[in-house]
Amino acid sequence: MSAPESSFAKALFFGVVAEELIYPYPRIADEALGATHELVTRVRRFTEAELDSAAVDREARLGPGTLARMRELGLFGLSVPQKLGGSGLSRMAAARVLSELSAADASLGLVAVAHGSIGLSALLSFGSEAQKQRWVPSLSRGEQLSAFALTEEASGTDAGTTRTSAQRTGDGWLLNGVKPWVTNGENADLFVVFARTSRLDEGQKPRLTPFLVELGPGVTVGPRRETLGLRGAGITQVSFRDVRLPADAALGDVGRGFRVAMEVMADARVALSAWLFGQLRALVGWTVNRVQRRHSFGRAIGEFPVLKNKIAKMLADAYAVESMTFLTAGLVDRGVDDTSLESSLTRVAASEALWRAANEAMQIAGGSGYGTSLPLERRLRDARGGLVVDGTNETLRCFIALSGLRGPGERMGGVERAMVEPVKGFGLLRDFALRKVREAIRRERMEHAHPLLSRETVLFEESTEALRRAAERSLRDHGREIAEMQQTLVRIANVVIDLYALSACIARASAAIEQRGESGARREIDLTTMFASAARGRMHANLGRLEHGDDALRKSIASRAYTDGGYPFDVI
Amino acid sequence: MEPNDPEWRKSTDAIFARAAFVRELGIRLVDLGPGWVETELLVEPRHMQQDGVVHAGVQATLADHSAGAAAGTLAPEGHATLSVEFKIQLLRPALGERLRCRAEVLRPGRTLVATEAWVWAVSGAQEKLVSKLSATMTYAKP
Repeated sequence: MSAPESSFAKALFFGVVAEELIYPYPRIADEALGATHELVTRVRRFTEAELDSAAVDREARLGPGTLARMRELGLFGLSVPQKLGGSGLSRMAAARVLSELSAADASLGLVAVAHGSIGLSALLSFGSEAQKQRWVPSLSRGEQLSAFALTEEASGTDAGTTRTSAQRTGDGWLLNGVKPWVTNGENADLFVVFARTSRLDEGQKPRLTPFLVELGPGVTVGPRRETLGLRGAGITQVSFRDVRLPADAALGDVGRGFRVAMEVMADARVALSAWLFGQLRALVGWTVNRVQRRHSFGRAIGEFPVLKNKIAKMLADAYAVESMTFLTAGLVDRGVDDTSLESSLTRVAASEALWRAANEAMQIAGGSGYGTSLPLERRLRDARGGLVVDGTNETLRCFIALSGLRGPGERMGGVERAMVEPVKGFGLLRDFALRKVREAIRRERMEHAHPLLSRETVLFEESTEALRRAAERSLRDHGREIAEMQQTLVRIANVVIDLYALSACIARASAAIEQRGESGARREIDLTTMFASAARGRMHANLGRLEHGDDALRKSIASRAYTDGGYPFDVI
Repeated sequence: MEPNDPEWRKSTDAIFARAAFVRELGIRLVDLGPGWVETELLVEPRHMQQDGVVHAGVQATLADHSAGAAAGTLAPEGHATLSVEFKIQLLRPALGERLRCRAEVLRPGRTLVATEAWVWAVSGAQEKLVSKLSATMTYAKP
């Protein structure tokens, strides 16, 4: 099968349903199922028998021998080919294993992601042959660990404010700077450090370059960052003082680091979504168990309709998040070249579903949930990290909307420069655009959905068409100012998130019906129906407010509060 | 109107999913409630008669099946819904990119159910009523 190009989610902005990309819903190859299952079982045995997650949190470090056990299990090079020292899993299989690890402990999961899906992944995608030969085998086996040092004090997401610098010397580079938030920094032997390789000029965007920096003279790890949760993930400051680097320490082309950062992070969001889903699944399991054991007014609290409603919401959320996560991982496995939008919106949806679940689980446990004797407060603290881990969800939403609008924007002309870069792979989208023009105003169909899901499918199709109209209208109304219309962008992103989730649920439930028949797939059908009905309300609200919002009123209320210096009233 | 089968939504989904001819035409359930359904058909060249408008048979199938499904939402558990008779008025040529149909139960009897269905042709934001059907349905144990 030749590698399909472009993006399902980006096509939605044209009103195009590129269903050939998502059908059939991907599955882990039969010949890999056994090995994946075995590894998942071994991870579960390890975490159940040897891991004290409460201690990881309390002591803010992984227990002795934990990294060694993770190494033995091959968790540090999950999707690296075996000939390079990795476990050689597909992205779907790797995501499944990561979710198992993360279900047991979020810190452990994040350590595996920070190393395997970010640090090591950057090297695999952008390293030279020599760099790969030198580092990949030991990193894949976990003999050495890596960390990604991008964020700086001035700003997390705005790489333009990077102050860490690398200056050319006679035969290499001199690196200076401080990276205050390096996940897995405490365990790492190799850092991918982003530094400016251009002069620090006010108002000028710096040219960034990532460098491979080993622990050594001039590299100081610490002090450790005290954090709300994820306390075992080795989050620390790392400082670089006059670190001498050889000329070949640069990763990729000098000055092209922004692209590296964007692509590595977009790709890492598949693994981050699996990390989040694992935590979510664990919470659902814990809560379902709890409500059946706790009794109140003579019956299990799980029998109360209000609690059943909460449990059903958790399950529908979990089903949507899992479907999106594994669909996106499957797209990567199929060789789809642009999954940046899909992975970003899955990461947003996953983090928010997890946060809701952590909040509801604690609510369901009542007062005791607030105490430290139950694991809920720890899980809630860990879950909170998911909303900001690789950029805030607000930033990601703007990225999602602007990336998606870029295609229609190019077609309409005149607004490209307002779009954030770098987003690639619009070749086929132009074809989508043409296809849409040819078919005029006709709505696109999702032909492969099972007829039992026709209501959900029609909702998906109608909302896709509504998104196309909304995208066009926003671009027409705001032109190059669209990047400033953040509230509009957020609503557009919300719609795309729901559309992608819905399509993932429909594709997956359709596959389930085909495999197991209507009654065998009853759970999947019901969860898809429930998710669709919630998504219908959200999409309707988001699309309705696109034009009629009271955004201006809210802006002026906030501006006055800034002038007032806070809340301006007092009853005395 | 109150449904008589706790699984009435699923049963109504199945009225569409299991009807091969209806599926073949591309008729799909869009929304439903007790005593009513909304359906649609995205018009394709194969739905046309010789003059380029949607064939009356297609409209009749859409309206009749939807009316049956509307009655089906109130069917007793384990009962099938069957058409006994119908009449259709073709009000104007059906031209548009999609047909939308709403069917409602007028009076839910124990054995005979009076229903009506309306079919609109949709072009962009414009909708025109193109046909109207009155039908009597009955419930039977298969």
